[in-house]
Amino acid sequence: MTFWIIASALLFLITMLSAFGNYFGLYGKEEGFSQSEEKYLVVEGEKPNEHTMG
Amino acid sequence: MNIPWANVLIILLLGALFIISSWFISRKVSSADEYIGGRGKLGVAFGTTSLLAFWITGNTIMAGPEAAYNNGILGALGYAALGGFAVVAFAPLARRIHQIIPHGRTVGDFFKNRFDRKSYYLFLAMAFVWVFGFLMTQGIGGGLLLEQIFEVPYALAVILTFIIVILYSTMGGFASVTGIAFFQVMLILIVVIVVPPLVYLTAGVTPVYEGMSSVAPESLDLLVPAGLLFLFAAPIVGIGEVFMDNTFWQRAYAIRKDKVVKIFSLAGVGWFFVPIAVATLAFVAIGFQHAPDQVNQVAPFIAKVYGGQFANWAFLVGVWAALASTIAALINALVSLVLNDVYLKIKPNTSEKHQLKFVRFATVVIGIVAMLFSLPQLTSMLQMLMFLGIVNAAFIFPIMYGLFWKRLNTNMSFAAAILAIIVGYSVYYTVGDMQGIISSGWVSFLVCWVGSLIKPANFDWEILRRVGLEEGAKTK
Repeated sequence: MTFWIIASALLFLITMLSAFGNYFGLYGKEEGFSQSEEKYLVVEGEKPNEHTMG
Repeated sequence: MNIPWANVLIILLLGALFIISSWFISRKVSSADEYIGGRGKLGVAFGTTSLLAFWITGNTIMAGPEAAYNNGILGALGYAALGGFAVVAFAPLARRIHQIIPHGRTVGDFFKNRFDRKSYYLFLAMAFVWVFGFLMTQGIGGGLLLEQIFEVPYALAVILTFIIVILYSTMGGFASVTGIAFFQVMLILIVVIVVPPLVYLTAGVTPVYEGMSSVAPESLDLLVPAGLLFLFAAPIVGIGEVFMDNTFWQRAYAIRKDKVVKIFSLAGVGWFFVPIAVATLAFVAIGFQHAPDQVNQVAPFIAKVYGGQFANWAFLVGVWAALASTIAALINALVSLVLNDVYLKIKPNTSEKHQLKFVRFATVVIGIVAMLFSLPQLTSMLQMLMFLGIVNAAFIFPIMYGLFWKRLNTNMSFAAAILAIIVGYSVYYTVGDMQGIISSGWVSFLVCWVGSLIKPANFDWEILRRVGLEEGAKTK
């Protein structure tokens, strides 16, 4: 049972670290788009989102 | 058979309210795109409640207390971790989805364009099985709950629930589902905020604690091996479910880009407290050694015995609202997959008007099929979720690394999913269900990671960024 508890705890840790990995450069600089680079992703002619709810 | 008409009337009244509200909301829906998503329209309030309403299922309110009854405090914490961490973990993924595939519609769009054809078809098949299986368990769970606790006959409960959900979700699709979710979450919160204090006012906190420590001291122990395994393994099940589930991808697109991390994090943290609150009802059952024959009914049973008639009806309303919101969201998510990844692949030049007709028709058909499959009670809610947990865990790393890591090799991610499923089910049948899920997750991680380090790919993110632009231009 101890083996499975350690295996599950480690897997959980790896999963959470991988999910938030982009915030601390886990995937390398070229993998992510920082806030300032997000304009790169704006497609020409596209309207900004309409905020109608919430 | 004696039908409790007061309980049926409560469901009918609530259903009528949902249908009228849906008709009002649906007047603005004019395209298939709005019916299955509605890009970037949801703010903090509707976004958070939409996530909570979908993710607080009948299971949360019924199986959370069951886990607490079986594993004590660790059971309650483990169940809270199952869903809570999953939604929090999806927050950075949701932001990334907006960044790299801004014009996608479904999780299928991502798989189709990030991986090769075999990976796409494998995922699509598994996603259909998962969503439909989940949908079926909600129908079965709802029917059983209404029959065993509130004495509404099983078939009547299932038919009534599905007909009401089909009616209101056909009108406005995603807009109806998310609009009504706001109201449904308020009803669910009544159960969470009002019922446990009402019960403890009658039972008393000290007698419950003293009862637990004398009758079942292990329920207060934070180092019980079975409870610890559940605490760490349960979030893997939840994370796999959330990453794979198109319902979350729909909401990632529908929520405003600048709020997406905040909303998913808020919903995840908020979710933690729901199973913990209802799980405290199981502690009364442990402390007083007063439980029903079926352990999964421990929460409504205690609410009825110690909370009185008001708590009983509040539980009925809250649980039914949770079931209806989840069934509606799942049908809509399945319709979205069918339209985007099946119908539009066969008929790519269909006009918006015909697409809208098709999605409404598909909602009715999927709803009726799910209802028919729910009627024979083929499986139990928890059995099905644990069984499908192997598949969910197998896709955690292909999805996560596929979104963030351009070196993820397509063949490795395909091999990872297949191997994880094979190993996972082998361990599931030979060692145990939780162990099978952990094995599936580990194989998925190791094959994706080591395989891509040995044979790295160099994926061009531009491919994902262009997804949806040409199709959008065609239909317009």
